Amino acid sequence: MKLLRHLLRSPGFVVGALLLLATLLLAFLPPLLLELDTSRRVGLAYVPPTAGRWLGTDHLGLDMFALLVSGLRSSLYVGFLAGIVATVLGTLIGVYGGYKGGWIDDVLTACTNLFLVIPSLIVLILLSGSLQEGRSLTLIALFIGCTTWTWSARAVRAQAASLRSRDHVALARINGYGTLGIVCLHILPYLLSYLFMVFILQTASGILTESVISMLGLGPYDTVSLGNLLNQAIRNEALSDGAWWAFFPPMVLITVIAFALYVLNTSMEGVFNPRLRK
Amino acid sequence: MIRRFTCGALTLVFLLCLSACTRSGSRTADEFPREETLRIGIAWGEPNTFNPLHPAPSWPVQQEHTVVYQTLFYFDPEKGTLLPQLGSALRSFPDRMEVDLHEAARWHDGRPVTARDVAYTFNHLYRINPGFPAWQYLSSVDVLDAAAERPRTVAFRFRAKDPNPLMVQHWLTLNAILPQHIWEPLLAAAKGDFNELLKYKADQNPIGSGPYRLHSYSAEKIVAERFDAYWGNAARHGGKLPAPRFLIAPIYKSNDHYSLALQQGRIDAANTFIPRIWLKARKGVRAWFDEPPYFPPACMPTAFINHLRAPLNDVRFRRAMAFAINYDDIRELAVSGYSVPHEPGFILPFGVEKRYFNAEDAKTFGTRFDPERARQELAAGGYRPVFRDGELIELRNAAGERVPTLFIQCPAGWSDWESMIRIMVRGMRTVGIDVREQFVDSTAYYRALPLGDFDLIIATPSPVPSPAEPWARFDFVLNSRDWAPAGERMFTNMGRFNKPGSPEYVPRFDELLARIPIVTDEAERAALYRELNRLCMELQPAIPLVYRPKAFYEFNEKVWAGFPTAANPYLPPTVPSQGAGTLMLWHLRPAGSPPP
Repeated sequence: MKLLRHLLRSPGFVVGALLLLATLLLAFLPPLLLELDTSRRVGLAYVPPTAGRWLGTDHLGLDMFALLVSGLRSSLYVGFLAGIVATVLGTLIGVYGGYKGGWIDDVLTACTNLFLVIPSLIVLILLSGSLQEGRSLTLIALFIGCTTWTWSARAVRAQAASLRSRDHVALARINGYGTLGIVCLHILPYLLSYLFMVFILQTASGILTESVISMLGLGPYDTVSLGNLLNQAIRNEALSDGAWWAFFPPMVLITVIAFALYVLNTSMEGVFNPRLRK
Repeated sequence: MIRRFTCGALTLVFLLCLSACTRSGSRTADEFPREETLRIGIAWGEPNTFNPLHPAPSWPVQQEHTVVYQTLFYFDPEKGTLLPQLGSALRSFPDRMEVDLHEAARWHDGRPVTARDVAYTFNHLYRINPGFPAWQYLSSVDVLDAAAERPRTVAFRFRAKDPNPLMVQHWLTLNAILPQHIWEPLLAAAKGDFNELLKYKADQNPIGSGPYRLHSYSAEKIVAERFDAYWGNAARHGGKLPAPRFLIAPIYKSNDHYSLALQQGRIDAANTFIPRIWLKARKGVRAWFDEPPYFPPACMPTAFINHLRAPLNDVRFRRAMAFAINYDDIRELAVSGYSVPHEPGFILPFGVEKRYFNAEDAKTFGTRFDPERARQELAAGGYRPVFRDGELIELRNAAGERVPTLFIQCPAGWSDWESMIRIMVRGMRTVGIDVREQFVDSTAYYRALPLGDFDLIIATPSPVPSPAEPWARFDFVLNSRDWAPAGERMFTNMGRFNKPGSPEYVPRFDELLARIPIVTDEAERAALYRELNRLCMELQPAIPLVYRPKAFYEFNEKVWAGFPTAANPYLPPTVPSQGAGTLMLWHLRPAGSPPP
């Protein structure tokens, strides 16, 4: 509770949390209240917004608001799944290497560094491009998670290595705890706040990466996502035709989500990190 | 410090020198003055070869483009007539066609174009070229006045088995004539091996007979320069030169790039798909018509169906697919309304083909958008879709087995075709057909098409203007003449419809395709077309989707004026290097100058 009070005193956290809540509400509330259909044609191509159709239509005459809500849910799904995969993978590798030390740490660090120098976006583009069919949101999220775990592994490893020499860890070792027990009971609890921040950043990064890939036309083409909406707007000349409602709302949403998550991360760091705490 | 500065300066100079170096003699922008340059949006992808025998050479050498290499005749699709090019006269006989060459025709090196060049091009170059099926219709190409100092008459003799004057005419308008004195040594050096001959890129001062020569090329653009000694200037245009000194084809990646360049006046004419062209009018972009449908529709993008794969070999399933497609949505949304309403079958219900179209048959046998009929056809075939919460989960066949998800393929980035597929998928999934979009790299698309490596694929039958239509369109979809199993190449009937010898084989298709070209009685020809179209509507070998122009034609008169339009139809609507549109080059004038 004390921690929450600290967090709520941070204006950045409040702003970030409210923005994130707003996007979550936008993603999950309208389908409960309105009849949103992303497959039924409601008008001609790029009809401007009206009182009945808040965001007009896209190039195929579909309701842009319904597409936006559906795309937002997809992007959030990809972001959270990619965030979970990257955080779990990075944590496992980082904690194990940091705790064990020695040659295991050397090998895992070398692997992490190796993956770190490979440009993940290019790998993602190549992977997505090589899949002619079966590109799904889940697969894209897994790709993103599997190519962006490296910096969370490095950061977690440094934390785990510093905890390894703490007294309570030595005591646990003397009391006969195995590696799994020590990592789960005596190291990870100290890293939880840090891992949460890592997860938030990885989620933001996942959402942005999916948007980039989809905007390049390499995302799943049988699903709507914010990046896909931007891609379709570009391909079908919404910009030159002045159909701002086709590209501006998804662009704003991507910016708002990424901004909210980054602000949350920064403000949480200010609270969780004793050196930064005011 | 001084040493570091010197090193830095030298590196900078080196990099500047490097950046100044470009390929194949290209010049700086000032050397192509805008007022002397016509920029055409027509080139897709970095130039690979300028060999006119290659199946996919770069502009300005590809089929139909006649500024460097010329064909015997142009075809005017608006009037359905042939216009002279290297040829000056065409005579038809039951067993042959005779062509007279223009007496003034000359190659770029000054040598005369003779009947020997024509005969050599067909007998030696096209005969060994598997990409040019003209020899399916020819038995021989002979020089008739061989004893003359400069022979000018050549005879194209039809094959006795299935004579087809329509297709011979078609190839006379498409096959470029090449100089024997250049290509004979090249073929000899290649030891008669056609694939070896294809390695010749023909990019260094190639010799043709047209009004322009290849000047230079790079990854950004291809440049052709006017050939002032072109024989046709005096012989055909009263001594007048084509107005633009340079033709430049900038290379962009997708339709929207061309559209933007046209709106900004960075290109003057284009043949790419530009959606909602009426919104671009305020920036000076115009098309053939100033109002809908903006372009004269002339062909029909079609979904080819792989008949070797179940359940696509089931006519009920094919008809269910055809009933599930909303053709009005495709017309209004995918092609921006650049079309008239769709009618079933493979005959255009307007223009010169209208005389063969039968509205009663279309109503009785045709497939139109009717989701209920689609469901009925599926049910009659024993197919049972499974929905959950309104979403299609799977489709099961009469044996209760799950029908695998089918994919509809087209090249990624072809935005109009992508939209067509999205509309098709939406309609089919609504009635319970499990299909999905498949947008692939264009190289993968062109590989899959002849090999039959697809479930459904979008292609345009008979994609170039041809005097052989609508026969050529039917032939493209139906003919089983060169039937080959999947994995081997077929350049027509890529869906492998009507396999000879199979239980489903309908010999009447081949009989009709063989009969129509040689019929001279117009009433009989109309009856044969009617029967062929009715059979197509009943058996649904492929699904025609919409009408569209053979090639789009847009222009912006910021720099050049005098483009033909429906109000001033002095030439057909093609960009000024394509087919008869090439003749436009003598009619264009700088913007702002008074019309003649």
